Amino acid sequence: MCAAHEEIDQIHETEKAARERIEEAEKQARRIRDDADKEAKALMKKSEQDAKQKASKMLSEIENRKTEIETSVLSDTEKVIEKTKKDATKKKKDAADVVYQMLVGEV
Amino acid sequence: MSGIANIIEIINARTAEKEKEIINEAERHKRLKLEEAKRRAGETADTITRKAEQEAKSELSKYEASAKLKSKYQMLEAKEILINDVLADVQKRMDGIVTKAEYKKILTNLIIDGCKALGSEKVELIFPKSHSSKIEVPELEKAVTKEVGKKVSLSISKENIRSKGGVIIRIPDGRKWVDNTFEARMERLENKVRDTIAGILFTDEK
Repeated sequence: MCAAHEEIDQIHETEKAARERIEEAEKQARRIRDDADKEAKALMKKSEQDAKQKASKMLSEIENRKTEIETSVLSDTEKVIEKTKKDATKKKKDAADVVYQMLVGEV
Repeated sequence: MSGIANIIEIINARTAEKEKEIINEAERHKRLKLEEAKRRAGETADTITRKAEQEAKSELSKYEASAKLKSKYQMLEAKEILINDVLADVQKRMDGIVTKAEYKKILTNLIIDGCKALGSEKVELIFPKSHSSKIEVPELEKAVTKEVGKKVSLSISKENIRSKGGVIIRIPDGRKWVDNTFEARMERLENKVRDTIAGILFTDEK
């Protein structure tokens, strides 16, 4: 009779220990899930911050590009204007002769 | 092994299996959660970057168009200055011509031009003060008659006009006239004159 009681007690002890282990495993699983949520949030936040930083850098670099564009267009324009002036200066007298004739009624 | 030991072993084995199952399920959840987060983070980052790229591209494109437009205006301004230089030269030449012998020929041409346009047999001429002395009516009538193809009688009006040079040709009743003063011709022919100058000065660029 005594031995049987002991065995039942042993089983109860084992079952109790098993329940505790399962509870502990569930707690650990909850921690894993909570950690996963935190990591996911942190990952998304960091990724968004990095992208925003990259975008901000990209937009701030526009100013440099604008200056480059302005300098290039201005330089090209100056060259074209210079050439136009040089070429036109040679033809000014011809133009003045033709227009003079038009205005005084010779053509 | 005794019966009790067997039972305990079974309980422990099942417990270990259950523990493993619980942890594995949590790990699987974590893996899926992080995968989903990475995917969404990537999408969000792409959206932000794409939007910034589009903004940058659009801004630069607008800026480039504006710079090119500004350049075009600078070019037009430079050409306008060159055209005005020629016009100033011509103006100077016209101002100086009235004291030269060549002016008589110019007046004759302007009068013939006016007479042709009016088609009248009698025509009155109005000059700037003292310019009428530059012409001789009989000689002029001859030239006009020859050019118009019919006899034209000319008279000099007692009126004067305020002008640097040229003449107004009108029929005696004053209903029709041709203003061939230098100023009026310049005004009338301005667009043509500017186009002509531009055509000569900037031919190579067209």
